[in-house]
Amino acid sequence: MPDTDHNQSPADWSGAFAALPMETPPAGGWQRMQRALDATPARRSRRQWPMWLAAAAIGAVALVPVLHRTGSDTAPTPASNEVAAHKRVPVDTSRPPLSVSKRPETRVATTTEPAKQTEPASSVANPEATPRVAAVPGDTTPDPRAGELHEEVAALQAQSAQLEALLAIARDDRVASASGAALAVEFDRRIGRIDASLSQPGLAEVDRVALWQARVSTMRELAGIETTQRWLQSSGERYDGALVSVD
Amino acid sequence: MPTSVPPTAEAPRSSFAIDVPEALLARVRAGERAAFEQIYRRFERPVFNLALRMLGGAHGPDGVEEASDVLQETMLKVFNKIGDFRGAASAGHGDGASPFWGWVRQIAVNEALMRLRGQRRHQHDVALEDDEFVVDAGPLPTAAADAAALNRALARLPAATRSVLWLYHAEGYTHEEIASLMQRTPSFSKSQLARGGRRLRELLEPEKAHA
Repeated sequence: MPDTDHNQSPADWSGAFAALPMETPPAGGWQRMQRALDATPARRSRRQWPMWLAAAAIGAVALVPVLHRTGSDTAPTPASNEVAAHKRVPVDTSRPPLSVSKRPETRVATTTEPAKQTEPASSVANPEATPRVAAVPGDTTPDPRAGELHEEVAALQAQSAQLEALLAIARDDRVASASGAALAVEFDRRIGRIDASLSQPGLAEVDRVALWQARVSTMRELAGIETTQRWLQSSGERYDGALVSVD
Repeated sequence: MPTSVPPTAEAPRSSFAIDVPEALLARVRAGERAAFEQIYRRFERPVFNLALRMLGGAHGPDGVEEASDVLQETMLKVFNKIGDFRGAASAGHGDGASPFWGWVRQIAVNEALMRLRGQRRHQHDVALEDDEFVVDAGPLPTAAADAAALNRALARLPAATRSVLWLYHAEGYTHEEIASLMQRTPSFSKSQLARGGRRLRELLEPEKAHA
C-alpha cells in the first residue's frame, strides 16, 4: 500500500514532508540494542586519548597562536568571576529541553497500547537523580546581575560565531594529517556535548556563561589546531611525529 | 512573489508524538529490559526517520548505517538517562510538562546534530546569518508530491539547511528552538529556511529555475 497520496498535491512544505513515507530501520535493531546495553559498563572505559596526541596538539597550538584573547577575556568582570566559581558544569547530552515545540501544538497520537495506569505518577520526579545543570538548587532565584551575564553571553556568542567562520575557512580535510584530523574530530565532539548542555531548559545564566566560555575556549583550541595544520602544510612541513620522536 | 517569512499558523504533527503510559516509564526506570523494548519499538521508526532525513542518507547503505547508529545512541541515552527525565508520560498530563516523546526527540535531534558536526558537514553553512529572509510563497511544485523526487532534492541540500527545513516543517520547532539546538541565531534558522525552500523549489522545478 502506498504511503503517500499522489492524487493530491501538498499545500505547503510541511504537508510535503509529512507525506514522505516513514523510513524503517534495518531488522535486528533491538538485538543490537541489547548487545549494547549488555556492554554498557565496558563502554565507560573506551577512548583513552593518546597522551602524545594531546601533547602534539598543545605544541601545534603554541607554534602558531593565531587567535589572541580579546580584551574582554583579560579583564574579567565580576560576573565572570562568579562564573569561574561555577566552572566544570557537568555536560549532559540527554537533557529534556525544547522537547516540545512552542509553535502551536498539534495533535498527539494516542498510544496503541492503552495500559492500565495502576501506578501513581509520582515517580516522574526523582529527587535523587543525578544533579543536572538545569536543576542546580538556588539557581532559580532572580540574579541581580542577570543583565550583565546576558551581555557576557552575547559577547561570547559573537566570538563563537567568528570562530565558526574562521574554522570554515581554515578547514581542509583533503590535506589534514591523520593525527590532526582525529584530534579535530575529538574537539568537535566536545563542542557538540557543550552545545547539548547549552540547550537545557531553565539553565541558570551563570551556568550558561560558563558553558559559552567553555565553547569559545574549545573552539579557540580547535581553530588553533586547524590553522596550524594549514600553516605547516602550506610550507611543506608536518610535525605529527616530531614531538614524540627522540631520534 | 517574495515575501518575508510568514509565521506558521499551526505546527505540523511530529511523528514522535506518541503517548506512553506512566506505568511503562516507571518499569523502564526500574531497569526492566522488557519495558524498555516496548519504548524502543514505539520510537525506533521516528528516531531512525529523523536521523535519515537530517543526515541526508535516504539513499545508500552508508546513510542507513549512520541513521542506525543515531538510533542506537539515542535509545541508549534514553535508557541510561531516563532517571533524569522530569516530564510527563504524555502531552495531556503534568501541567504542561514536556512529554516523554519530546524528550526522546530532543535526544535524537542532538545525536544527529553531533554527528553532523563531527563529520564537519556544517562547515559550508556558517556564513549565512545575514542572508535575506525571503521565501517564494507560490504554490508548491507538483513534484513535491513525488516522494522520490523530494527525497533526492532534500539529499542535495547542505546538511544545515536540510536540518533546519526538517526541524521546522516536519517537527514543528520554532526558529528560536532551532537556533538553540544548533547554537546559532534565529536569523540563521530563518535564512536557512528561506534559502532551503527556494533551493528545493529550484531542484523540483529545474525548467522554471533556468527559464
